[in-house]
Amino acid sequence: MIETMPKCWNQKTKPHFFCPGCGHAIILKQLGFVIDDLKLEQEVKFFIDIGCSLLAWNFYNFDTVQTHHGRTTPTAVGYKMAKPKKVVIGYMGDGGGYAIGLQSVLHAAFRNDPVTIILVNNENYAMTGGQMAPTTMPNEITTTTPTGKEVKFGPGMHGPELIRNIASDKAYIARTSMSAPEAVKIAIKKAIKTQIENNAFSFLEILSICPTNWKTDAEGSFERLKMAESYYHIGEIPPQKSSQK
Amino acid sequence: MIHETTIILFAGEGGQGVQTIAEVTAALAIGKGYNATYIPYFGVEQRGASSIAYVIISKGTIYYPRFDDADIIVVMRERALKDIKRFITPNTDVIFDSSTIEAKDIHKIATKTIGFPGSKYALTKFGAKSYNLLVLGVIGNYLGFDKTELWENVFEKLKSKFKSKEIEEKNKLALEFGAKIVLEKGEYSKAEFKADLGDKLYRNKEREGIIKPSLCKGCLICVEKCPVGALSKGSEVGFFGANIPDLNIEKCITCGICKRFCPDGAVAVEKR
Amino acid sequence: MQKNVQKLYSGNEVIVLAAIEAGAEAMFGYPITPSSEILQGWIESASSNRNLQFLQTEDETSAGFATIGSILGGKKAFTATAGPGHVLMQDPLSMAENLRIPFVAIVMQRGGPSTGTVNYSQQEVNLAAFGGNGDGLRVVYSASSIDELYSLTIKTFNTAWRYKFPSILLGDGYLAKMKTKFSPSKSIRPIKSTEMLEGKKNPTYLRNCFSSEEEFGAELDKNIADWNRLRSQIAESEVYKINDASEIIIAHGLVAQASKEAVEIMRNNRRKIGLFKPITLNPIDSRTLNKVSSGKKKIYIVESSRNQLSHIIKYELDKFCGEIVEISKPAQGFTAKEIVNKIEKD
Repeated sequence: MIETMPKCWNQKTKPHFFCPGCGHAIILKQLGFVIDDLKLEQEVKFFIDIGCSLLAWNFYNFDTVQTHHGRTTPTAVGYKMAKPKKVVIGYMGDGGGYAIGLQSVLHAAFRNDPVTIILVNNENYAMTGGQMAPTTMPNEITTTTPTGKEVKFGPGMHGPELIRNIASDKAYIARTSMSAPEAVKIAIKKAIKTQIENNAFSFLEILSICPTNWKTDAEGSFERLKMAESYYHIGEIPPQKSSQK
Repeated sequence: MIHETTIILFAGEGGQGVQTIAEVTAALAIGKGYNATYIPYFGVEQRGASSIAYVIISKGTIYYPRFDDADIIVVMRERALKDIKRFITPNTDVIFDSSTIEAKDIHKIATKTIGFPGSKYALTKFGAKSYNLLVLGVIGNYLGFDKTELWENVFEKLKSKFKSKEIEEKNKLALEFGAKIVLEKGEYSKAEFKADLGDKLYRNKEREGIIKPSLCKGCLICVEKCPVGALSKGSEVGFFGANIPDLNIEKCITCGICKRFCPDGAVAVEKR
Repeated sequence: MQKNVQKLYSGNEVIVLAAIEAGAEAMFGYPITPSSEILQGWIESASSNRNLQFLQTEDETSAGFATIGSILGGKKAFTATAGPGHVLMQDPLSMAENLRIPFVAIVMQRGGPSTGTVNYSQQEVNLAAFGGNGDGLRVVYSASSIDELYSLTIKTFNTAWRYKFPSILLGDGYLAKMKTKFSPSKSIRPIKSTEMLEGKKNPTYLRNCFSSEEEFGAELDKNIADWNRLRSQIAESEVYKINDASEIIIAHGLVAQASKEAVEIMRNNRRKIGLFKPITLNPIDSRTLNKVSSGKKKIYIVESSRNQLSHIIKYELDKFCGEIVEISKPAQGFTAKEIVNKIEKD
């Protein structure tokens, strides 16, 4: 039998709840492959946020906790303190990580809490119907920026570039794009290994697509993603040691 | 065909235009001097669940926009059958797409059934995107609206989406065609457009591939990403009513990119 | 310590001792007057006891959610807060309520709304009992003395872990900061904590987001049925000089202490008055309340808030035919003399 899914996907809960062509499901697939490769199915505890990420509540064959909006990071941190040997992954969108939950992400980085945060950046608030996110790029039209995002609402927020300023030099911080799943897999692996081997904080932003709210077909989704890739730097964004005394 | 009070439930797939059909129906009724309400079902999923809409049309005051029993249920997708069950009474008219839903499945849950081969006509005459207007034509006619008022309301609601005069014309034709469909009672069309959900297997000497219509949502990212054009948009539809890809196993180079990308876990090819 | 030197304990210190006695293993908090010394005291204890974990988080919300994370990992964890911090704490409390997580919050009430005063109040009763966006399936204890802070802290932990409803202990600024003699009462055996994410054969999925009214309604029905079944086991109260009384004062927390003294004064003046003190404010011990109020002439509800206790009591009173007098002084304390004056003037 040909396997079409990572082993750690819960086959009983497929088809999943994500929209056709959703970037989340593609990213969750790479995460699944990594967990299969590293044989971590029994070790992983998965914490998910509000927003489309919550649709992953029964996605995998491992324990999953859906928290409140922006509260995934502190819940994951509390759990990790109780069970330091478990591999704790927080999974959230750009709203959960860069708006309502930003201070928790920053403080987890600041304290070097050994958890892995995966943040999916699709440049909008998807579950609530395509509103402006901090990561929405200038001039983009959303349901709350009907004439395009104006300068007064800020440009697109660069999360990893912000976090690097207060993170420990042991931390792993990076941004990848879903357009290159193999690179996403490598980055997720590095992030998880940072938690396991360095007992350090890891943060990975993944640029993603949202066909429903950006109203794109397969081709259009990836064209849009290319635009995001030219706006947001792809690669490791290592901690700036000088700022941490 | 609207009585003192008429309660209508619309059920189908996200992307089928269920909500548009319901809203236009309510607008038409209000235009005729009735009171009408429409509320969408809104869960957390944007597209993952069945799409359901509740419409009440009444000469009197409408106090509450939801209901237990429906007078009319319009069901456009087999997957939605489980969601409509509890609204069916012995007096409910269940109007179903007889080209995708088998009559025997409807008879398990309802006694008064009316068919129309909507998907068949939409796919063969106008294209999948005109399905909503074709169904609206069927329902509008069933409820006694004439085609001019139907079109005026549709145009008001959808004009921004008609990107060209050609698309507009095509949709108008679909609506008018729908309004002329003779509804089936007793003798139903064959559900020849019903999705075949069995795994599709492909095999040659070197490799074997699989496509799972039961999982595929038809995003066609695999087609977009296949570096050698071995995957293409197929003519068959899957569980979600969208066209699923077709695989040319001879062209395939077993690079694994389709499996890597497929968000639904619905495609893979391996070397034998 | 020298024989003639007496150590005085503050309420906040006593809570730390009690939490350890109750088997608490982790605390998460954000400093806020008048509860800060609980976090400080816990961290001090942790310096000599490696089994005790702690984290001073970035805000109260995070303190609450980190507490939840720790509990999911099997630790007996808790938080302590007050006033505006208690408002933020409603977010994690709501999650705990929906997921039946045994969450303990110690709340030292301060004057509100807003930043108000840091001293004293009984205005966080509604917030503790009904503050979330749900129906208030939380157990709320109110302590009226340093001794009770100790015993009720232990009880709050045991209730949370036994019944899996979030449990809150209410104190106030006076109780938190006052210092007095204290010797621990006989301890109640703590209840063991278990991991909620076991990672066994079948994965555990904890979610609090549902798609349909019906699906969520079924979840709520289960929790409400449990609450209704267990509420009489959880509810607690104390009665004082009630048997021959024709009038009753109803008061909780420190006001109940002042009321007890007021009862003594009025009894000396030959007024037949007694006291009903709810120990749990949610659920109320309605059986005892209705038993002792039956046939009485008058009930005085005395509290340091605008009728928050009164609303709860009036809802629970069944067939009481006498008069109800509400005596309230939001965010201010009562001396016994004041209570006596108000009742005698009435």
